Amino acid sequence: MDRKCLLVIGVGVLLRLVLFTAFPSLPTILAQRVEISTPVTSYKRLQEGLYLYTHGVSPYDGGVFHQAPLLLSLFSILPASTISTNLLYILADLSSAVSLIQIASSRVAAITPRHVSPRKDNVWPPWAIAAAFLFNPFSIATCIARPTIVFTNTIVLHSIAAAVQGRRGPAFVSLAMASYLSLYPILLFLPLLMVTYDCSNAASKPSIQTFSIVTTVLFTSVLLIYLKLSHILTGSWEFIASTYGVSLLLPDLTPNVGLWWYFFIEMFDSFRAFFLCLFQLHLFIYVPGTCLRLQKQPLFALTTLVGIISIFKSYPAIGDTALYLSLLAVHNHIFPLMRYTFFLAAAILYATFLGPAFYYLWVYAGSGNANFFYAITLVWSIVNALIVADALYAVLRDEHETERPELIGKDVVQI
Amino acid sequence: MEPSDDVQDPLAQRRLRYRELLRNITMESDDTAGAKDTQRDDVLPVGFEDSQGDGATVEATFKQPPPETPETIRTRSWVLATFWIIAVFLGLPLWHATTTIYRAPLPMQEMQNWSEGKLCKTEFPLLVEVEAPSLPDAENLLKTVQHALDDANDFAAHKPHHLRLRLAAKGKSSDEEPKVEKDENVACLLRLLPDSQNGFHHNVQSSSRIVDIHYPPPSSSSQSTVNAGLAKFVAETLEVLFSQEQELIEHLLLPQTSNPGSLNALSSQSADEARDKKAHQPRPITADISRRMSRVVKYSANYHLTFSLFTATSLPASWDIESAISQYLTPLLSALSPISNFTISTQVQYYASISSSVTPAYDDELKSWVLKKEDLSSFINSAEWPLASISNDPNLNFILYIPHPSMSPLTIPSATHSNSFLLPQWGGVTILNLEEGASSLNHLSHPILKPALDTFATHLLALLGAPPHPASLPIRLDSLTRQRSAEVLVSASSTLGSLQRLVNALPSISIPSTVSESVKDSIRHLSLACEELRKGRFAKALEMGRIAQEEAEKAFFERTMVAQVYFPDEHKLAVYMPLLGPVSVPLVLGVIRELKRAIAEFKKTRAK
Repeated sequence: MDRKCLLVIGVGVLLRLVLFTAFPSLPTILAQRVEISTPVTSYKRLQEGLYLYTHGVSPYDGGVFHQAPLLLSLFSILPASTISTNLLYILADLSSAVSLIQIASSRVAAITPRHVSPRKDNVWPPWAIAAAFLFNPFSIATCIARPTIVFTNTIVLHSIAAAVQGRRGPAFVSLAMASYLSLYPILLFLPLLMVTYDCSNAASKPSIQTFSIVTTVLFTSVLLIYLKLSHILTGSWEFIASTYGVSLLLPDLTPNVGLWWYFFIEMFDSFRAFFLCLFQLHLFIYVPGTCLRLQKQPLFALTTLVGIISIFKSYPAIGDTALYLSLLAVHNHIFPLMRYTFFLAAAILYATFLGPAFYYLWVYAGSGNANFFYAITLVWSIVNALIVADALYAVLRDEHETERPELIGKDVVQI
Repeated sequence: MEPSDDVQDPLAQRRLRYRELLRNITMESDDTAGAKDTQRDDVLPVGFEDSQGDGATVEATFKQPPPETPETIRTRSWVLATFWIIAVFLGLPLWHATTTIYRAPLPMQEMQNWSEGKLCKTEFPLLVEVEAPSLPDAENLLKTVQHALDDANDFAAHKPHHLRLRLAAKGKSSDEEPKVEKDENVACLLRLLPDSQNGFHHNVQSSSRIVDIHYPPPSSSSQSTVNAGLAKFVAETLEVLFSQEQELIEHLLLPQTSNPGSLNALSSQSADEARDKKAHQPRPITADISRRMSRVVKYSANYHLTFSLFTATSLPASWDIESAISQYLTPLLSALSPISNFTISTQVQYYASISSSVTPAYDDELKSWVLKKEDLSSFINSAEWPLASISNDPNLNFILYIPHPSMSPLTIPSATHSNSFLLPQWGGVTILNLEEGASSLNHLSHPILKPALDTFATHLLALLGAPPHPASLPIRLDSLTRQRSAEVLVSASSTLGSLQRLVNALPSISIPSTVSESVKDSIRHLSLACEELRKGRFAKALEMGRIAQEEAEKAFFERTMVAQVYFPDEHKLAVYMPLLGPVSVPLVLGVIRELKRAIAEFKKTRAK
């Protein structure tokens, strides 16, 4: 890690510290934004759960708290002051930045055993990638609002960082933790397995089958240990229904930037179960296809899946998009191949500014209705989907050009 | 298409480029190259491989770009396959599991049979004990009477009542007969007593089931004639005793089998039977019965009674209602308890004015204010009087109204001395005119309340449907029990029938297992009730019938059943298509493309 990286991290941390201290009301304001806090990550709900937990009541009583029990134990051993909490979140972001630097330094994005990008020399330096994360407004807002998605993101990034270094143990223990915290990272198991396998030490590499089986066993047992620990902590298994059940069954229809809430408000009750299954399956259906198609660049497969999850998960927030954008920044060598960068950048700004405005019109001013906000979340989701698709196009083009160097610079037309 | 027309389009540019290439390679004329070009467009994206005709020669010389590698093709097939595998092996089972309408099995035939009254021939065997201490040839007499009754029964075919006579065991004390009171099987006890003064007459005791029949003592010469006369009189008496109940129960049971409107699934045969029955009906249902039936509140296991004192002024301020109820009404209520239970609340309302639309007129002859008959129905000031029930059970209101001194005495036209009236299915009202001197009475005491409460008791019995005759309360209550059992049986059966028709008519509604359980429970209790009826244990039958009715209604009004009623299959398409249509297009197109490629490849290998 060079001085530039340290500088970027320093400035990033300082920026957060300043925001926390200079605007003491900012965290509360941001924590109330539906775009940032969701029922499964909200800091306010975490405090409620923590209060119940420290007073000997089951934190899941009352149906407000939907987060993992281990978070409670983490926060209950933390000194009960705003500063320490803020420092914890800053630390999480710092760790994310470090992980990103590690990922970027490994150059796995451009150089994998089966694919070497012709643009491998155009990669941004690691500090720039850290900066893209640390100074991303979405990351900053998410950090200040303190939803627990911050920890999930940190752990996912840490897991990827470990994977690109070929350290299987830490990678999958972290992924298990991320899955434990917010369920959906479990979909990243397959691509992470591929990344780890690709980056493992070539000399002592077992066969892919043994590798997968051992990893699966490791991942599952660690996950079960976390669950058992939670069981011991809360004294019952009810947390399963209150955390994963909520993510899967969507009982709380608080608006968010995702596509689910409006859909399930409008859905006929008799079809609710079917469409819940369909939506969850829809997330899962991309995993094998993406991993197969991008088997030469598993890190990008993982990035794409992170992007897809951030759009289609049941309670998405801009924190998920922040994670995707940070990972996408690692693949910056493909940016020149993306076709709609200006349009996408404009559209994302459009959605970012109009979203809160329309939410205000709907909820506070009363001069709009739910469709206002939903329309903007649709735009937001389309923009994100376009980013994913455009990046995918760019990577495939990149791959294609490795195979057919003679086609570099030519137009590709899908017919 | 002329290439120069749309060079802006990348597709066209590309076509142009390849057209030029082709022209260079194959050296063919412009027209044929153009024709080939359009044909080629389909295959170009797959890698320009072409196996047909002159295309082979093109491929031989045209190396750029090369065909797709087998690896790419395999990957693509696999990617497509994974999507389809997940959709088919996970999606379809989930779709099936989450949208299949669960229809618990229902005993449809049985339900229909019940609703048509096929399964239970409602019978009310009534055992009448006869005590004839001073009659030497009692057995013979009973035979004659029984014969006469049976004959009458045969004439009125399908009469639900079967009167059976039995000679009371000798040696029991005939005055008290405690056993009769206990044994529910005995509907009434006839005591044949010689009476030299008055000839034939009968006398019903009001608080027991004993009916005294007095007959002139036989002179030794005309033993047989007296017997014959006595037999005829006994039979007539019994007919009279149970006639009202019989009519009522027939009225109740009739719509069950004879009204095709309420039972459209009725077979023509049973309709004929019903018509026969009507033809055999000796007496048409009288207006009196239907009037009485219209007053009766729907049967419930629990009723709530509200006793309200409405006074037009601030006086009287209080009433002795609690002790009055416990003294005058509780005995009746406890006698009714095998049929229904009662909860009671009372209230006092001051300055309660009657509805403004009701204006009593002063009648100089009667020296009183008289309410018009048509005013009675709007007498209750429902806008101002707090009469809304707080209970879940059916509520019966009993109102004691004390008019304003300036409008006292207030009377009801052509009313009996009780100065009260009954509001059908709602309750009773008694107007209490206080004496001139007592108008400043602060407190309504027992004796003042007694007539009012007696009236209320009569009202209550009428509202519950007890027949007004005979005078014996136990017999009336027995009669009420039988009548109510018939009612719940009919109601439960017809509810089951409605449910059966509903389920048949709407194949898209779901039937939760609770409904199925309730139906089975209801049918089980129905047959139990029917059996109890046949055995003559009417209280037990009522209890069973009540459960059957409750269960049947629970099944019929199950909330989750109606959720999908208004959801025909066409609407389902509208639910599925907006999402699944767009999603499935690329999947289906992908399969078509892969199939095309596979067929082309297959042809190529076969050609080789």
